[in-house]
Amino acid sequence: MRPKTARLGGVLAAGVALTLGLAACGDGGTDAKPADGGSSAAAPSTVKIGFMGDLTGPNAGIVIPPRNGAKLVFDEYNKTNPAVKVELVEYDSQGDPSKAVALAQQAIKTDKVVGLLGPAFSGESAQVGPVLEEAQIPSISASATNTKLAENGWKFWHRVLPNDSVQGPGIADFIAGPVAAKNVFVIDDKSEYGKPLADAVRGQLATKGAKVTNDSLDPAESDYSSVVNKVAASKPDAIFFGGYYAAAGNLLKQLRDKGVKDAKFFSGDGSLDKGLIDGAGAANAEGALVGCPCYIATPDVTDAKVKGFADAYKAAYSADPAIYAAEGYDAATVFAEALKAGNTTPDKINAFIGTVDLAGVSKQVKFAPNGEVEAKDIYIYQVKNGAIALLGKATEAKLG
Amino acid sequence: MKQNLQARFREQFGRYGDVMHDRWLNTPGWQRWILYVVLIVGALLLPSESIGSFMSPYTDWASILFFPIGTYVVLAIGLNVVVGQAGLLDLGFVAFYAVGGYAMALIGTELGWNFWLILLAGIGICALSGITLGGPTLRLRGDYLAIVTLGFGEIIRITARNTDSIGGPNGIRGIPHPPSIDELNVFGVDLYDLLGVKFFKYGVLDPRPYYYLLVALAVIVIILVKRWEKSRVGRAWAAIREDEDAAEVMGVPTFRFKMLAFAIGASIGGAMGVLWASKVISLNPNDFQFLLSATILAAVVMGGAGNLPGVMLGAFVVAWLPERFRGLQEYRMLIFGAVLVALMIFRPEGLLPSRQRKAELKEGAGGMGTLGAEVPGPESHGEEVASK
Repeated sequence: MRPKTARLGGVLAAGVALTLGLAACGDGGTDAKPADGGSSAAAPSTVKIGFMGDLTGPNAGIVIPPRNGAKLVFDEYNKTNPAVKVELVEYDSQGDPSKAVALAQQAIKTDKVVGLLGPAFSGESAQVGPVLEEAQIPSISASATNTKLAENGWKFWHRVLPNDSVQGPGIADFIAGPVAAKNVFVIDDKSEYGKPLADAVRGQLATKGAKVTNDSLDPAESDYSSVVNKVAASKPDAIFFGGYYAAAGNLLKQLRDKGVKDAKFFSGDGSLDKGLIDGAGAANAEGALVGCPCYIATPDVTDAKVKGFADAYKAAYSADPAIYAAEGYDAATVFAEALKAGNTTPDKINAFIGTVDLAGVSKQVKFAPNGEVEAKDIYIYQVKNGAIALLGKATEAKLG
Repeated sequence: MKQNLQARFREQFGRYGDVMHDRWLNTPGWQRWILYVVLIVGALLLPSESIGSFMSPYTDWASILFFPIGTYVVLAIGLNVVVGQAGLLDLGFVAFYAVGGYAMALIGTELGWNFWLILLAGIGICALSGITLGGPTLRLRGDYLAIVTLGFGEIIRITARNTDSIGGPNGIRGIPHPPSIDELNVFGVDLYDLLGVKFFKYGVLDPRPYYYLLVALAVIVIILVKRWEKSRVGRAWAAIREDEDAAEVMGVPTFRFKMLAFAIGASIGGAMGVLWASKVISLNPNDFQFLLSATILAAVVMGGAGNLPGVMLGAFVVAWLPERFRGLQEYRMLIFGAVLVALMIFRPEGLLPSRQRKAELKEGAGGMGTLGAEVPGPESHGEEVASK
């Protein structure tokens, strides 16, 4: 019996692998065709702009929206039949810094990109940044928020959103201001993203005279009872969690289950995802507040430019713009504007980025010499009726 | 004799391998050396663009030759000493790679030592950490040892994440490169103009100088490991792998030799960590996940534990395939997995198995030395195991 089944299994496995392989090849083929056809027939010259980030890895959910936003810009741009068309080349780093470096080499040497959107995360940005700097390729990230990235003296690196040391104090001001919390419990997940952010919140809260209690949790665990018990004992007015949505949702659920009902729950941009509501349960998540340096166009916006973007995004991807979509759109717009102005080489584009001052969807886009964007707005979002709604800028928002 | 296709393929492929192996064993020394030199020259010519367009159309070929391919190969050579030769199942090998990486990062940024000095110091530190881990744990065997080493790998990573003085979760940035040699003149001819490669200019843009450094490291490591394997030490390792109790009774100080294997494996992993850290400039604890240990172990087992060329081939395949299929996006891991499964069906003792280990497998001693004592090998029959 056994050999027969084993043989059958082998044939089956080989068949499945082959079919899937062919199917995948087919996908790649159809993807590539329009771009090739377009470049050879209509326009005489095409430049390549890369998009690097975690497109298939564990945190792809916060990288695909800015990719979509960027694609939108270049599709619109190419439709206007410009002298120089743009081909968006995607580099899927899966958020892994050591893979990102090899992909950056490929982008520079083989694909000869004139600019790069990304890398999306701070870890990969730290390793890819020096490579781009030496190759003199301009880059604009739509989602890397680590503060230290701007301290390297890079001339070709930019990001279109404020960093964690702006986000943390922004949220802390909101906690100490409109929320008027006196006793705050700050938790971090010890990650390279969550801890610096939580530290920034702690520092700012301390200057505002709030009583701050600290603790950390390990997001790989599922039981946070040691943290939850400490929170229950400290009876805070507000809780801030620096970390990603999966842990945040779980933490919020366990807190509410433990009877910590009245304390306002805050988190940062890593928790700005429907996953927070799914993880905590709609009832527990109701009223939770999330700060983010990103601007998400909610369906009820009235501003014509933002509405135009949101509608175009929805038409193209049949989904509302999500986290960092507007930032991805703005970053790509900068490149598109540079090309419109006749800059097609990396150093000319970089010079253009240095002088750019345009009204984007998310903010006025203007870069400081160290690559940071000048606008420093942090937005506060709140879970209302099981959905994430925009309250407004942290400096202006009021609790409803 | 009724045989299924799979077994027939296995056997024929195995016989062909045996013929080749016999011929190799009878080759005179000078002919072998010719092949070695050809291989080394071939390795130096590998990062050529003409091969690169086929080998990795989606990633820069020279870059992936350093990481993951070259890195995996050296790590696999190191792990092979522990798993393949001494038969100690080590699931935390990434820890030593991490210790080497952190040694480079810390000494380089804090003390500003020269790269070559740090390389030596890193090797020493890693050997010491191998002994530190081995001391209390090598009394354990098989799966118990696997669990302890698995724990050690995670402890290193989590400690690094929680220790703010070494950067905590942010890791360390600004790690110095090896010192560059800008001028390279041979008889008045500038080699740079001749070959277009700055062999000793260590920057961020060109990965090739690091790759050449890695080839040099690999050659040294291979020579050393091969010498150890052929020496009394290697025979002691083989004895321990086959039957630890028998070896002990026969007067082999098993504990000392197991420690030695651990320390040597750790030093090789550490040397690679130092080299890697000096290339990437910044590292953080997330670079040292358990998955890396598992992948290297898979490379060793798949290539043929105990046989150096096999192990290197295995590491190459494991590192290269996912990059080769990068264009298939979500499917690439599926295809990679399918290839691994196919390999394990048709070559259960590895791509290029060690003869000795193959014989052990056939006898029913399983794959991992003492770990598999009760597990039948792929070609053994039930009654053989039952009689043990």
